[in-house]
Amino acid sequence: MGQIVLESVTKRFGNHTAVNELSLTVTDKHFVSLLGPSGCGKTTTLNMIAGLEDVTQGNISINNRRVDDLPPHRRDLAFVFQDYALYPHKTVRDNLSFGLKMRKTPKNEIAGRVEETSRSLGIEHLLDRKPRELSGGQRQRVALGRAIVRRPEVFLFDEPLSNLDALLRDQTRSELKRLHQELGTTSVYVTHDQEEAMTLSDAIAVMSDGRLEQYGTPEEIYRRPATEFVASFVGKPRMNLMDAVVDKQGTLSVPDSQLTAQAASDLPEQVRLGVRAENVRLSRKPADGTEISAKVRLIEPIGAATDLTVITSSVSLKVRAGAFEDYSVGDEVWIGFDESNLHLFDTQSGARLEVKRTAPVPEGQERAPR
Amino acid sequence: MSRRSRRRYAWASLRYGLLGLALMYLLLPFFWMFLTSALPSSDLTSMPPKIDISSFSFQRYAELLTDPTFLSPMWNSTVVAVSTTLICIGVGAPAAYAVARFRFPGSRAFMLTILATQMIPVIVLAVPLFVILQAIGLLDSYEGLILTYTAFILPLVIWILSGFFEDIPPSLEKAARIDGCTRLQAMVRIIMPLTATGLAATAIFAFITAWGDFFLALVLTSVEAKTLPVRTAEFQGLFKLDYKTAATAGVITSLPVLLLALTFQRYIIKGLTEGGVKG
Repeated sequence: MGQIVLESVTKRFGNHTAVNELSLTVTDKHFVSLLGPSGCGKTTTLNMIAGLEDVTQGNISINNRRVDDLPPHRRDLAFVFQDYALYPHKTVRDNLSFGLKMRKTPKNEIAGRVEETSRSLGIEHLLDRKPRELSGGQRQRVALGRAIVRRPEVFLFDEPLSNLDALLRDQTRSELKRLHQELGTTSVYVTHDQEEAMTLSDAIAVMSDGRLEQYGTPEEIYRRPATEFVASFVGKPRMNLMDAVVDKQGTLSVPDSQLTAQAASDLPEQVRLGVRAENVRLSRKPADGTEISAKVRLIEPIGAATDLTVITSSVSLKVRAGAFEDYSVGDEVWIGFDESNLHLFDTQSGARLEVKRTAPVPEGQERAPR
Repeated sequence: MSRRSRRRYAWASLRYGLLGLALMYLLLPFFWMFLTSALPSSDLTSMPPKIDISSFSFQRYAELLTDPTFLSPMWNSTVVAVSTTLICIGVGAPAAYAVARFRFPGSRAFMLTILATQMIPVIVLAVPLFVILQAIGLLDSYEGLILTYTAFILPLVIWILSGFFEDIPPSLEKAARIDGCTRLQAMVRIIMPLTATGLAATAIFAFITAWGDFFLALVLTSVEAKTLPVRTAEFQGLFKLDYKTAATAGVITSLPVLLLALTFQRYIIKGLTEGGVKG
């Protein structure tokens, strides 16, 4: 059992509030990511769970046991650091066994566990080396091993992949996922990389300015972002966001362009409209009359798809096209929106506005079925 | 020889030439002091000086090392320098650690004050120090001298050591605390071994400073706590000039420092250039 509960946890450094009234429950055996830009309070939150940082207000419990007054080593958790934090003067074997030694584990048990762990990570041939004799990837494995060998209730990760190069990062990411599937240890993972968060997590907590913006499954975060911040932070390329107005009939239009879409009538007059690149309809010829013309500005092939930047008279949009589709800069294309894939946000609070699909659509505004 | 290799050769000669000059500048006085202590005075004062290894005599060393008026200052110097070093490292290491790791109100001001104390010339403080020590009855005592040296050396020790501690990534300590250490255990088991070279270099610096001080010892001691440099200077009295004994005392005085430096030179160089160990 390794359930973690944070109840309105606040951390202040002097006048600066790093974490503000954060409440979060990490279900036992789940892998949860804290995602956000640097300075959003995610690492501070992790440090508070670990006990490396005091809690200013609120409380933290692990397994229904209040831990916020306990020192780190009495919380039964392991921490993997961004810079590995291996003890430079100790061999890999001693690095792995140090935590067990400090807990007075019997010697033969330590040896057995170190052996088992190093075998599962493929580092058994490195046991007698010092950290400086290892490559970055090997150090990262040892750092993982040091966490695993203790068999704690909870793993905490602080951007463990950010010092690795791209290829190694992808490999280690898969390895982390495999380890979590095997061990099933409750994990909290801090990252600013939304791709890491998406691929690894059972649930993602998106943070900004010390506040929790949204907590949900990767699918919920991606499909129904709760705030404009989440919408813009999660997803690659970044979601297209623009100002739009809603008229009395519930028709949404982007000022100075002919972009319109049917929304609902109970919305505020001004909204922020968001649409992901892959949800913009793209064609070379107008199909049903709702599209508008745009010009290709930039072509960014990413292999499996091609991202286009197109501009209409007033807005610039990212649009996703098929792999290596034959576009050139300056081409005229036609773009349109699907109502079902639009995201609307309040202009003031940034909160998501729900579009009620049941809203009556005035006669004559109905679009011809495609 | 191509022009390029000739130029490189010229550079190398110049570099080694300059190094040789610097080495001579540093070693010649010591060499001369040694010769003075071992050769008959007449040989050295003749023109040109006669340097003959067969006439080397170490009799003066034997005399000095059995002379109670020399042995007691030697013991005094040892007690004072070793105590000062132990206190400076014992107090300085935790202080430097605190300055390097925690931001507390006035930590910046504290470090600046430390630096500021080093700007005041010792000579300005000598008379006030004399008056203070006299008032508290510590004139011509171990305690008085240790206290004074600590006051001068400790700030520098804190300053130097905090640099070493700052170079240790904080995550190492966090890792140790997660692994089951208290803050103190983390410092002793992880931080200290990593700063060993820095600690050694700093300790030697503290020892050499205390061991070699002449001026403060001259002002603050007279009989009981007189140190080696002061005693050595006495061989050059008002009406007599015993070069040979003075030189012998000089060699004996500098020997511990020399031995320390030679033994720990690897650490000193590593400590002074690297500034700790990177994780």
